[in-house]
Amino acid sequence: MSESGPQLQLEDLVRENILWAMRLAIRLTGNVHDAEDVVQDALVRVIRSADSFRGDASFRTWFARIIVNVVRAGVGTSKSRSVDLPPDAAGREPTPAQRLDAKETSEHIARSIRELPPRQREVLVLSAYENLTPQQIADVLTMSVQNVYSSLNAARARLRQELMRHISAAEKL
Amino acid sequence: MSDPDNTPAPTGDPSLETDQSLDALLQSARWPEPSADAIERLQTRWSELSAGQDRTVATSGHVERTGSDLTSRRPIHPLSAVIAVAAIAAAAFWMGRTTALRSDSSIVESGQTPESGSVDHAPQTVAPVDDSESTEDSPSLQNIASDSSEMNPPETDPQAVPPTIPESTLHPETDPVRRTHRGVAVAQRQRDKEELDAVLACLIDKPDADAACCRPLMRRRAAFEYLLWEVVQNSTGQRQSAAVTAIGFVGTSQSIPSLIRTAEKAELRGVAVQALKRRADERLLVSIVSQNDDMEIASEFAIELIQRDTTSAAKAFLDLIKDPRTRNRCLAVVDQAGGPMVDAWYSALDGSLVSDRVAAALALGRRTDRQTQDRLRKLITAYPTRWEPVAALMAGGSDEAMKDLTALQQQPGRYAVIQTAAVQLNTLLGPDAPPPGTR
Repeated sequence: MSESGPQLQLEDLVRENILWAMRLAIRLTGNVHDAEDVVQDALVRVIRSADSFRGDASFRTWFARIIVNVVRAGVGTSKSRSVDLPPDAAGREPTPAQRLDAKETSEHIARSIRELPPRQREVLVLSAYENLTPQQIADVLTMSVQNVYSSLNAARARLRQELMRHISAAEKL
Repeated sequence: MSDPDNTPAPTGDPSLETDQSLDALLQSARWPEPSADAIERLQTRWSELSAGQDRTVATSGHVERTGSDLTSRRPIHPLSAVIAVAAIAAAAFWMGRTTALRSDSSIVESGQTPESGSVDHAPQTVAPVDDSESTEDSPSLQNIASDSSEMNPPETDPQAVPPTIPESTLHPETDPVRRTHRGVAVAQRQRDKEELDAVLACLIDKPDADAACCRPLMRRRAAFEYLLWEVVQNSTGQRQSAAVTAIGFVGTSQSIPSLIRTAEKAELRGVAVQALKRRADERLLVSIVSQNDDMEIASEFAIELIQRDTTSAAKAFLDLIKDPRTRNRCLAVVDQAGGPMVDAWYSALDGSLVSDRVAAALALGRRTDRQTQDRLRKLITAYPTRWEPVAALMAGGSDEAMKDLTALQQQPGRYAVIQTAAVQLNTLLGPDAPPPGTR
């Protein structure tokens, strides 16, 4: 294979997956602006680490590892540390109660995930939103599969407690 | 709870059902989507980075600035390395020879010889030289000692090192390596200025296309930020205003103090305020609202804060309401809040801090839209023991709200709730505040 083969392949892969990268970064940081900073930094690291991508492993696993490392390094930790509220649904006029419920729930989910300990948050996001298997998550986060399970269970237990309480309260209102 | 290493528990297991509902809940979450602008910026950035990598691989013999931080990964071309090493070696040789020759000349002048030196000193290997003596390989010490001010270039073996410094001194202007780098920097600056001029012209011609006009500057924000401030200082009129506008898109946090000062100038106030709104985070917005004596500017930034639609902005706004110094200017703009912010205030009625609940009640009560008022009445009806919506109604002070309160007082069991609402409002507003319900 020519020396430019993997390089061209990597360029195309990154270009095709920038939207995916932003979405992952948004879920990890909870903030669109922070996510853009994270992905900017990740792109630089992709260039620096291009030699380590041999085209044999899943590109998203490799790219996800870079993004997680950038988030762990504290890039994109904005001063506000805020969670962006989901956008208004265009063209619909839900009732205030429906809008309140949906937005509150959505906001609460995002906030609850944001408030998880970093390792639990990473595992949960990769499991629930990237549909990675525990082995893939272990590869991305360089941890054992057993630790993935432990972290995932802890994250889900915590979220269950947070969100069930919220759901019950919302139902009463 | 099922063993995660094994297959899931059979159907009917409450924990599994709960997990399924948790999964459904997680999937129902609507996360903010990145904007098209953000994706385009990242695509552009990736194109530059990958192009810089390509240029580095294909380039031979010179270093090229790409505006990206690829320096750590650029391979060094062999010829570049040879030239660099040779230049350093030649400079070291010249400096060393000059120093050695000067110290030798001092020995000659003092008339010392190795044989006459102290036994404590190492024997000198350089013999004293007079006018009649010289060696083939080195110039006359006497000539150089007497001619030191001119500093003739050393004779060099052209086969050992490449041609070096053509002038008599190691002047930076004549250093070919430094001249090349400075030339590159000057050319880059010229290109930057041309690009900046194009962006400013775009901003002047198309005021609605601000972000699109500034996109070319995003790749090297710090450099362009500096140039933009130069334009602000040295220009007037439309060009100056356009530069401030561009700083709002391109500038970093470093620009914020200067933007605040710029906002004090009447002719730039509008654009500077807009630029600040774009660059300011919520903490800065709070600071501007709190510390600015200009009510108009304070109100503008209060509006910017409540339109941020983030939970931290909601919290920050309620804190401003709690502060008597900023309460009125914030309550004056509550009608500008959008749906998500208003929803956040409703949530704050259930907040853990009583002061948050009172602040939220004030914010909601002061809104004049029918939807908010109707919803408050529904909450009062649905939750007869809760004082918060009653406090909101009190804070409104409209004729209709006063009628509702009067009717409420007639209902059995409501008197205590109304009293509690009044007490809580007074606790925040203070004993000297006007009675609840008055504006």
